[in-house]
Amino acid sequence: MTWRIALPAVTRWPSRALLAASLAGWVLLPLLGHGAQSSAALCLSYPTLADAPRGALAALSVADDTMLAALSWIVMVVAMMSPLLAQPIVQLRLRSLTRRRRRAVALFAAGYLAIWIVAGFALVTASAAITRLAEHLGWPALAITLTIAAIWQAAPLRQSALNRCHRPPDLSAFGLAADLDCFGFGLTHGVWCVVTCTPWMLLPLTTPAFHLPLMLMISIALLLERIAPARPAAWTWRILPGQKVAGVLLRSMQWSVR
Amino acid sequence: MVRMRKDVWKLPANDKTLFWYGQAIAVLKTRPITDKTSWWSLAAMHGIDSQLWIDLGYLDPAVQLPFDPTKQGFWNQCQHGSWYFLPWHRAYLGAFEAILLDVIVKKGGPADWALPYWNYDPTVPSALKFPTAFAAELLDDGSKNPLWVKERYGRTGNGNITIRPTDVPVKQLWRAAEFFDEPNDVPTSFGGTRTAFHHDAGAGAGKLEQTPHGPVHNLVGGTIEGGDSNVSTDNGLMSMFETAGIDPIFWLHHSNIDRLWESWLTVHQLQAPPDAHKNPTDLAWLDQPAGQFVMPQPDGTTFTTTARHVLNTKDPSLNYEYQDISVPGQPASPLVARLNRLGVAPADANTLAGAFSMASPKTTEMVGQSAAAVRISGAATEASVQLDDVARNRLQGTLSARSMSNLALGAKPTPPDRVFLALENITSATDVGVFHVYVNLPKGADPEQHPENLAGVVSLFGAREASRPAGPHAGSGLTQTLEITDIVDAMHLAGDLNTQQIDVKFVPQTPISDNNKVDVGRMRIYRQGG
Repeated sequence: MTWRIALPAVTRWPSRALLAASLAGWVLLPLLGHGAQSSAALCLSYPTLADAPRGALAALSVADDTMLAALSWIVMVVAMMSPLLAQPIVQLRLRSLTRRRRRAVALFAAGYLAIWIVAGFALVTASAAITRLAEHLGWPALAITLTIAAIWQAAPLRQSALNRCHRPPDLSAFGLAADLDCFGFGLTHGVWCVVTCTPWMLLPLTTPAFHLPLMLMISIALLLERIAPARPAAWTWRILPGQKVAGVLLRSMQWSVR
Repeated sequence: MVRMRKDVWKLPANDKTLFWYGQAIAVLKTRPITDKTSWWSLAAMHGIDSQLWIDLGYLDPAVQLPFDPTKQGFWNQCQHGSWYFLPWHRAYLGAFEAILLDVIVKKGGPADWALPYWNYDPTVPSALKFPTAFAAELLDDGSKNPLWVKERYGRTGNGNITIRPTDVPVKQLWRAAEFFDEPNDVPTSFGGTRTAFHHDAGAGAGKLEQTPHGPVHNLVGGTIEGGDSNVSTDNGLMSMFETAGIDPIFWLHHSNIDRLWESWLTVHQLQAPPDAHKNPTDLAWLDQPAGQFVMPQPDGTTFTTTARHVLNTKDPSLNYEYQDISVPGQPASPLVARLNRLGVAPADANTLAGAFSMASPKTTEMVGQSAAAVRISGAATEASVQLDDVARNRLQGTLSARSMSNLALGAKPTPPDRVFLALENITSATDVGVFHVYVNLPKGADPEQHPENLAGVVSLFGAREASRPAGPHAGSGLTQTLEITDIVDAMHLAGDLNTQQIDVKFVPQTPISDNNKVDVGRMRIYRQGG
């Protein structure tokens, strides 16, 4: 007699390689974070941003710190986003000639990361502005980012962007056109991913005390949301990402005797 | 006693099955849409577009609807493009049948009444005719026929419903050994791709959902002569998810689809893998989505069910069996027949086929792809798929009788690849359209004269919603996969496979105009080994 939890198989989508990349990111993050605590790193040394809200751009003036900050940011994106890339990478591999598959995934990843690096600058600037606004108003920054994230979560535009994340790529198969299409798919997928996830990413950025736990929670929530089927774009009360899937999961976690 | 679902074309002359079906429909139609056991709510469970229903006269705009018709919930529940397609529709038909039976028994009808099926068997031309009892507007006594609806326009829009054997092939169903595909593979299975709970069509339709399910919807519903199939009110009820359930023939069509599932389970082929022609044992399919198959009961309450609870049709909760689930003409060992065709000596073919069944898990590789989207319209559209030399050589290698026979030399036996043509990102401004797909047709040849080059039939049922950029599918359209193994084998044997491209010809079977914007985004050829 064996006991098994009936988890939806879709939770098993992320490949081992993607899960390993994500796990490595999560292991590295605290190390990098603690190491950079004294520096003005972009996303991990939040106290610098929070305590001295002169902004991330000022922080960027120190080249070493910038490098470390950029590295931290990339590691964070890898940790949080790798599991979300299971579906597009599978779709990409299926539509690539066998000998081009690795190259296709590498080009996709390059395009995807490029978008997130650009988004990183925007996000840090936005989080600095929110921190300043919070101080000015005398409100907790968390309240402001939560409000922004909740409104965005409820908006049809966000669901539209999320639906586009599910869209299989249209790729050329041969030559330079195939390379460009794979890179382009990384870029467009990155854009839809950034549009979908950005407000939630502001949460850890503006809440330095809990940034790692918050990031982990948001990662799980976004992954749950991602495995749910696409639905029509409309205003919704589901303001927590993945809340519907979490409900289904909870209901289905029945112990079954086999 | 287990009730029997009977073949509508084999009902005895004095049989009352359809009389009682009509009687029950008449009662259910008098119930308001707010009643979960009404004809209207039962149809809305499959799909509803409230404005379209109002325009067609099936919904009173003044009625306060009990559910949001734009949302998926108790209404708009139907499962397409998903491995839940078959179990969800079985549960749905079971609930429908129970509600009808309750009405029939209360009216003094038989307690063993069961929903009949329309077996459009491609080998029996007379069975392809539209069931007569549904076709007349009035009954002999001058009263309205409850089995009739006016919005059935047929193939060309004149109301004549003609179905040809090539529209409803079933051979490909028996060849699909697996029930479901993983989402990382080309959909080639019988029952659909592993998905979360789905409403719309899209990429994951299984063989049975693709054909004959889709074409029958379109060839019955059609579009009114002179109308525009992009305009929903011009289309027949059966042509669209949102209206199909209103037509009484819908339920006989799906009864047959359900019957074909039972037939598929009886297919037994030598050298088949152990899980061939069996239902999934995956808990995600059996037990999920938890509580989301929500079905009505005769007393107006609802219950939830899952695939696990509908697998045995003779279980008291369903309590039916089919009059006939035979699978005519299935070869005992298609693999041995294929090996013989490819030139393996009959004496070796059995041994070889046995050795293949122990082979490694399947691998899928893209062999070629079309360069651009293809617009389908008019009488026919020609296109081509460019092949990759390396992948094509690998495919050719697996088809060579000599390489297969290397078994004697101690090499690992490699079964011949199966080959599939995937039509991806089929987008359309209409839900109505059926076209045939020919592969490697000789130049200038009449397609009708070359059935050996017919890869299959594609319907646009569900395409419009899947094509909307703002819709849940973000405009990714439908994917349909056709097996072209036999065509490629013939090319190989004729020495024609050593080519840079393979020609594909689309031949519309219903009027498709440029205005319908029917595009096949990409065509891809895949080889599947293992």
